[in-house]
Amino acid sequence: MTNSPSKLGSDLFCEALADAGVELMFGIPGGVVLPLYDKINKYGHHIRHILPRNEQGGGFAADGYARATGKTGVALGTSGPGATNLMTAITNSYMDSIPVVYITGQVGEDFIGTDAFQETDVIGMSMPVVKHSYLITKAEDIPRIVREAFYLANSGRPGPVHIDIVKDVWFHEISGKLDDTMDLPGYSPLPEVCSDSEIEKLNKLLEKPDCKPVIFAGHGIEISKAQKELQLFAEKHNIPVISTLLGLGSFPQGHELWAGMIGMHGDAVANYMAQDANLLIGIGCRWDDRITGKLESFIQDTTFVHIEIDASEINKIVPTELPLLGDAKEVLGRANKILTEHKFPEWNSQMSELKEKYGFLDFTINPENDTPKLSQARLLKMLSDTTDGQAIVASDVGRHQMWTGRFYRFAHANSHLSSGGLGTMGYGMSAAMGASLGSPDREVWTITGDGGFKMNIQELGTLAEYKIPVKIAIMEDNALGMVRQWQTLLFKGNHSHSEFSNPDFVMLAKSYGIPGARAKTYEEAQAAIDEARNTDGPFLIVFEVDPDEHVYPMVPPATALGDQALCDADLLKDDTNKYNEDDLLQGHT
Amino acid sequence: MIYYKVTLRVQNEAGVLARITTLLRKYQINIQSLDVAPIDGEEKFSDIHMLIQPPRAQVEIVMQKLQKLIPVISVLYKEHS
Ligand SMILES: Cc1ncc(C[n+]2csc(CCOP(=O)(O)OP(=O)(O)O)c2C)c(N)n1
Repeated sequence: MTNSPSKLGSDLFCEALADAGVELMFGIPGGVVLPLYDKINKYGHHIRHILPRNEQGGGFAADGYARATGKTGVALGTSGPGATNLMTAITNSYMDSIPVVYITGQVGEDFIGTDAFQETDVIGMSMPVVKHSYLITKAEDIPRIVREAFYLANSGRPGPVHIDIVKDVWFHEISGKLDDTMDLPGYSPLPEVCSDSEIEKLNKLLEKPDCKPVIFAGHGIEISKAQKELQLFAEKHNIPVISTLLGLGSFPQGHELWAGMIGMHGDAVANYMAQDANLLIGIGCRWDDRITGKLESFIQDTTFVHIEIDASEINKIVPTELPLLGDAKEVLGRANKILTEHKFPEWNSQMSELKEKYGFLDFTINPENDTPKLSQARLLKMLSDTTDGQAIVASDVGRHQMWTGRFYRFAHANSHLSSGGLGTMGYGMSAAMGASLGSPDREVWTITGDGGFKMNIQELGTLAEYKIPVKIAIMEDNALGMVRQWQTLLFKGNHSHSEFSNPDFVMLAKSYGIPGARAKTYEEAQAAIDEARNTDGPFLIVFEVDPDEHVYPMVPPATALGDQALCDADLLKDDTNKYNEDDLLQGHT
Repeated sequence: MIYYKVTLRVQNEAGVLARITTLLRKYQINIQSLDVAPIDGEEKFSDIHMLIQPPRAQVEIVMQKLQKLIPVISVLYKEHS
């Protein structure tokens, strides 16, 4: 890049962001970043700056923006508390491999190490939860470091990169051209790539007698934009496809080969299929404990194939017979050319039978959904039907999150925003805010529990101020629903600190200038959804839902997927209880 | 207990060792000995030699994770008795 003579660090930094293609950032100013804020509007034609109400909200918004657009998000906080408020968002992006550049201000160089006002070792704090981090102490490093940061964040396996900048840098005067050549001798986005002959080994595995294969479609499909290749691959070999929570939207959910979402609260069909399969082909996934259930049962008598970009994920959880390293799109593309076709008629009809038996994607199978108050499962189905699966839906964390994954039929990738790895309450509405700003032509909803909503409730102010048209659906059960469910089912109904009262969220929204509605019946619910969609700008709906509607299936802790509980009776009936009580209480929650 | 002798070639910059030990601490791996020195004639890079005691099952994963650290250029390791 070229720099005309004599520029300040603050200008250089804005220019570097613009050069990196930043179009949107979220940040809250404070002492050490004021010189930057003095300049930022000058670059407004490149970079739109949004002021969230809490840095955490800004961080989640940048993360949601990245998930919905595939571009790199940017969030900024000042030194000390601004930076520590970002830590949860940084960790959230790290756990789910989301490309976000997090920027924090740091006290002046002379003050580092003096415990100065708002001095915090934030690079030390973020170290275990970033792809990489930088401390900028010289303005001349700005172009190179910013360029490297954006490259690292959104190449290979994406992830957050943290840049901390000491205050003096804004005032450094630089003249002449600066070198922005990247210097990353230890980094390669694709360190190893599998050979064709390795891919060919898959033929042999698929041709073993009695082979019962299942594809595990993870988040990597969306990241590498491999949706088409995945579908071709599945169809060529007639292999059932199971999606992980973050893999939803990457395989057509109406497809006859789709077996649903796997996991602790996944679809019954997906969990049984995973249990019965003897060849699991994971693609861009990391075998999280939430999807494997009891690991010994999961890996027993099963051969694993793992298509994965990150070599350190191979053999981390499951013993892998055939690792296929590389980018999912590229590896699947080659596999589709190299491999011969396969058929598994018996295995496929076993899936059809399971679908028939367990009322695939049919919430009515669960008697708990016939609740006196509104059922969240039914509401999610209503929203999915009304929007025809076309919306971006950001969920928060808890039971509503599981129902969102199960009953919203995502027509597109980059549409389901969910805090998977970290399970961060307070994520949903802020993520939706970033997604909406990044994809202004898409309809954006957030589904949130009343607990999580209150954790970043302040972002209502941001939605109102910038007229960001996020439709907010609060599932009000006056409880930390997921926690309460576990207490009901595993702790003999001792609802310890899991119930609470709420303000009137509709009135609260009104005070922000956001219209809203309350729904107690399905007619009111449908009317409210329609009104929200017909209203420009944000809209808030409170659905009065039943605290006793339990989310099923439930694979209790330390339990195999195949032993999932399908209703209250499975867990509560003493005489037929198939679970070991100690395991349930002490197993990894 | 099996020891592993690990040699890391790294970019010679502040904080590299912290990144490495942060990772080892996460896996609760004890460092028996540690030696860091720049390589001859190459001020940009250093070699780190350490003797560590990771549980055998984790060795490969930990080495892969070390390799992923951006300022780490290469990782060599072998069993040491
Ligand atoms: C920040 C944070 N704190 C605590 C938890 C533990 N936790 C998981 S789900 C849950 C309850 C969520 O309640 P609510 O937001 O009302 O959603 P619901 O389960 O009722 O749908 C809690 C407390 C968490 N995931 N995140």
